[in-house]
Amino acid sequence: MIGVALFGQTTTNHGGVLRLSIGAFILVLVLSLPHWADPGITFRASLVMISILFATSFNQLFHYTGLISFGQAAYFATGAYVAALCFKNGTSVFGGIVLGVVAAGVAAAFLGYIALRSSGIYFAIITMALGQIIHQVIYKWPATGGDNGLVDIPRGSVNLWLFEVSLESGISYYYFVSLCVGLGLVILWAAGHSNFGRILMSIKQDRVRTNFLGINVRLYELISFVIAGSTAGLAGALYGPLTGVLMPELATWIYSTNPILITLLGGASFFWGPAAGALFFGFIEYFTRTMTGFSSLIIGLLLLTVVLAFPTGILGLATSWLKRSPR
Amino acid sequence: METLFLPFVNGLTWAMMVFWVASGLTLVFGVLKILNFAHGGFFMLGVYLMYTFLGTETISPLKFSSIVFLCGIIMALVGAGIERLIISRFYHLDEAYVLIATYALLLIIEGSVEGIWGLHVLSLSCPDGLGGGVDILGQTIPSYSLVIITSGLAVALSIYALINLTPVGKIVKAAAEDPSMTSALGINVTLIYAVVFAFGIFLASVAGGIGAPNQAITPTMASSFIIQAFGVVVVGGLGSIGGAFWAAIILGLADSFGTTYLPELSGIAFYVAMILILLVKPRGLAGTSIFTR
Repeated sequence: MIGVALFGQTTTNHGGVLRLSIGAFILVLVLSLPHWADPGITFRASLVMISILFATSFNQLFHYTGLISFGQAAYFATGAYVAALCFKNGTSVFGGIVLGVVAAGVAAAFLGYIALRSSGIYFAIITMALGQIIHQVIYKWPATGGDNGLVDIPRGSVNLWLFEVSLESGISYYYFVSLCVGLGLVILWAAGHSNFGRILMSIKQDRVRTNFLGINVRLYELISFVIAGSTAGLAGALYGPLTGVLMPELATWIYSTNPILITLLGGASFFWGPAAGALFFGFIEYFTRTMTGFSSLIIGLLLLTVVLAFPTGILGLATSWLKRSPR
Repeated sequence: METLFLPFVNGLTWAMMVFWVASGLTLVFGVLKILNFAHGGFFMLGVYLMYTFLGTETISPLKFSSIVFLCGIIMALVGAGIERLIISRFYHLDEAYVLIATYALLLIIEGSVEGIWGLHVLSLSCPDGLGGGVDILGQTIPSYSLVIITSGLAVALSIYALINLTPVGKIVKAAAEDPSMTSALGINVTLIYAVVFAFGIFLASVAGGIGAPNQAITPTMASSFIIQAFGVVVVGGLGSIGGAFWAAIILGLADSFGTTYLPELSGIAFYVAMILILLVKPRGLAGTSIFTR
């Protein structure tokens, strides 16, 4: 993806070569996937792409700002429902996605303003409660299909200069999702590695001192919350047309724990941690898909092991392994 | 009057159920500084254990309550074991990681329950003679609701007495306030932690056992219950049992009156009330907890 160029750029030592080659390998894999994998795998790969964006948006809050939100699914669902309702009413793909992202951002600005009056565990529980309100609104409101969900969400087509490309096929939608996710990741990467990102990091380390530097801590936290919410909304907007169906459960706090899980699995202190976690999680879901009941047991055990034994996640393990092994 | 009384009783019934779970939750937070997602899981295990002992039988209230008590003791022992084996490893973690680790524990409990008892909805019958209704003020009130309300009030009073009037309560308060100082005075704080955790699980399990005939028993009941208990604990002020008591009543009544008068908003009233209270009092109703920090 586009992010690959950024991936290798941070270091100039021989680690940079390794990063660049991993990045190039992933880019080739992403671009070639639909040509050698069957449609089922391509579909799952699109889902993994969406989880990558969703989890990375969560980590923008968690790692860079030090806020743990248990309500991110609400913004994912807001983006998903608004975009899907637009698509069903015949807006362009671009228009629907933009409206979905804006709606998620507005919801995040409004609810984030309330939640950010508190911090720590209180913030976590309040984001959870606010998310549940959005879930209840989706569940009760006739326009969103309520309990029955929203079905037959069209994928539409995009206008490329002279010709129209239909997104109805799994392959073309996969490329479309990859492009949008890549774009979302670039935005998050740029936000995290700019002065803005450094201010967030300093807020995470010491709120009071950052405040003394004349920085409006709560405003920066709110902007971070809105960025995370609207990128979660982008992930949601891509999700509806992929599966064709949206259910109100998407907005519940249970679904909010997904990006948390994925982020910790991959390694919260790395920008690409959530991406690694989402990929790994995709494999777990694929291999446990026939075992009902056991999947939550396996995920629970895995998560507990990660938190207690490998708090740096997959990427943390990989980097420490690379450092230890002789070159 | 009639339209006020039934929602009042329903709200109070709900409040007592949640208070039981929330009191253990807030006690464990006050002493161990751990907000435990898995608490809802132990509540659910109490319900399922009850189902295993009882099945579809209807038994006398005395037998019913002794089985509830027995389940509570079993779960307390399990809880003490889990505190020693797993929870004690959380003490040095960052609070965000603790939340996630206990959520992992909840997933494990949910997965095990699904594996052992299956996904289908189960139900328990009320103890003999308590399945009917009682006429109060021209309204028929389910007699089992009255059982829950009275036993809930009794439990609330006992916890209050236990914490504030007994030597054990004093030691627990001391351990909550300053563990290292308490330990220096020759008190085994490790033991206190295990006992407090086990007591919290006991309360959750007893709540599950008594409340079981009143609800649909499914593996998802833990997660729907824990978020309500979290709401109550946070509104009450983390670590405050008295706060949790009043928060349970306020939120319970808000939810039940909201559902009665604005049915289209059922399910939302609880969260709206919770957020309104937290906007005014961001640290909860009890500004200072009974464990003064």
